[in-house]
Amino acid sequence: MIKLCLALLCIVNLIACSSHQVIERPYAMIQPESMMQKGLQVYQQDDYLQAHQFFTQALVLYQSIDDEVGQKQAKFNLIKANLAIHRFKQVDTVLNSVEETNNAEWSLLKANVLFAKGQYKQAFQAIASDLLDVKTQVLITSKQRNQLFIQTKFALFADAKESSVFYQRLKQEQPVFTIAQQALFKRLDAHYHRQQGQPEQALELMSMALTLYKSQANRRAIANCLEELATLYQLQHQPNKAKSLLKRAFIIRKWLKDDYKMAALQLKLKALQD
Amino acid sequence: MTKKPNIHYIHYLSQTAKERLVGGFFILSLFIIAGLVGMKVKSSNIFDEVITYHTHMQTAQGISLETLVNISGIEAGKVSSIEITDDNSIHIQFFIYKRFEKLIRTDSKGVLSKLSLIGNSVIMITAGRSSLPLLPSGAEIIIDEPITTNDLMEGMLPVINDLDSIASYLSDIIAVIEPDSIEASTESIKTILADIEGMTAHISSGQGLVGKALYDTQQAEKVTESLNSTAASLAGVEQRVTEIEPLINSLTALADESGQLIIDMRASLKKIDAELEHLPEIINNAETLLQSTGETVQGVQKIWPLSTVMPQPSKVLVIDGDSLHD
Repeated sequence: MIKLCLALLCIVNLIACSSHQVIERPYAMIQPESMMQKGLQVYQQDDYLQAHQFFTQALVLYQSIDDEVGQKQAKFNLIKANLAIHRFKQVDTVLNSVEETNNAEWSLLKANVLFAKGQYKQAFQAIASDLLDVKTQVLITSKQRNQLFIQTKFALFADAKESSVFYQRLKQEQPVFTIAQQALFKRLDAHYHRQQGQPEQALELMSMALTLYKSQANRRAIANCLEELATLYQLQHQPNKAKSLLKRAFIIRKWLKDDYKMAALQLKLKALQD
Repeated sequence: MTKKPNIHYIHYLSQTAKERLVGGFFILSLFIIAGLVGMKVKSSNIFDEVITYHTHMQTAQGISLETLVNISGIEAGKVSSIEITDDNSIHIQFFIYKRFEKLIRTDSKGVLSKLSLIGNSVIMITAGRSSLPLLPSGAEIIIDEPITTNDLMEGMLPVINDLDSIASYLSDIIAVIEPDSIEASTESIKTILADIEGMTAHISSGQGLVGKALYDTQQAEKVTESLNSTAASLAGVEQRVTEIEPLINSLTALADESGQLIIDMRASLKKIDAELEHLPEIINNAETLLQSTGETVQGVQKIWPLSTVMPQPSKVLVIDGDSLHD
């Protein structure tokens, strides 16, 4: 009796002191959100196949309550999870099922898909309407700086004439970059120097980018950097170094379960052996 | 009629009403705590009058200052002190509440509960006959001691001895098998087989074994030699058979015991099988329990003061700015 009273007292006090959400929401609404959060959690741990499963479950649950906003968010995440490991078939299937994709967020996602497929010119064209005015616009937020990064990256890879202007503006912003942004800047700087016919500087900058990415343990970025560094060594006629870097990249892609990139790397390695 | 908004009532209460509500909770908690303390004091008999008795024991197994004293199954007191006397016996002093005094008579005896062997001991005192005088405070009550672990071990000794004899019995069986004897038997059998092989060779040559044995003296000698060798081998085999007989008897006994063992094993397996049928249900229950526990833990994390130190789950549901480095 006493124990029961004590337990009840504790519960009453806990409820009185609690700061939990007082407005009750139906479980059917909380459940897909919980799936989305689980998906985000595993996505951040680079388990994209598991993330795909959670987002699919979330999508089904959103469909079951006809939550259109939720469905769109789930599809957005599904595309990102599949894009991270280059599963283009799944990406296209989900992308085609989305009706309205005219806003900036979806345009950027589509551009990212094109970029991942290696269609750099089309990717740059896809964001053409949302480009920042680099001459006049003051960049305040991190989001604005990321926008500048994206357009510089796309322009550099597409070999667009604007790339130089974008790059110069990016260089001005360098002092306020985060470590991740610094890593990306070094990487883009390496590409810029390569295009300018300065392969030595390009190699040095790409190595610096790799070191920075390693400090962030960003697997996909490390793999990308290793592949790009291998390309630079290949251009320098050092196939052995390129091979070693590609093998390291292959191990990361294998961990990520990125079959598409694994196949591409195998082809590159075979070409180097021949 | 104005409809109230669909939010928790706390949001439309005034500051004074909120303070009164909190104050109400606080005062209610104080009252409940005071009531519980009062109940505890009453139930623990702190202020009850007691009478003290004592006893001497050789082994106070499981007795501590927390040990209860029962009279006719009613909790009537507690052990108050344990001391070791000069003659190495244990002096135990205990008290009973005054209201149970009339149950303790001069013929009252005590016994230590059998559960003392596994830790939970209770001194059980039998109520005396009402015709006899009351036992005065400070008197000694004789308490029977339960079996100790040593006694228990002594009881188990014959079982261990039986096991030992079974082991030596098995050892005898194995000892009967002599490698030399088996080797000798094998040699004899080998000789027989060689002789039979020779005889078969002669038959296959078309001369006919019986004719040769009758008319060919050389052959007859060979046959005689073979027969002598066979007789010697048979004698050896007979001797081995005589030697093996106790072994066969032992094996038969062993086979009988094995049969019983197999029956027991089958029964055990059936029981395990029956238990395994419940396994999926248990797993489902465990899963539900884990899920509920997870939800409870998540709920607790949202409660002050944990909510101030535990990171709360993000409300963001969309992957943001991640493909920048691809």
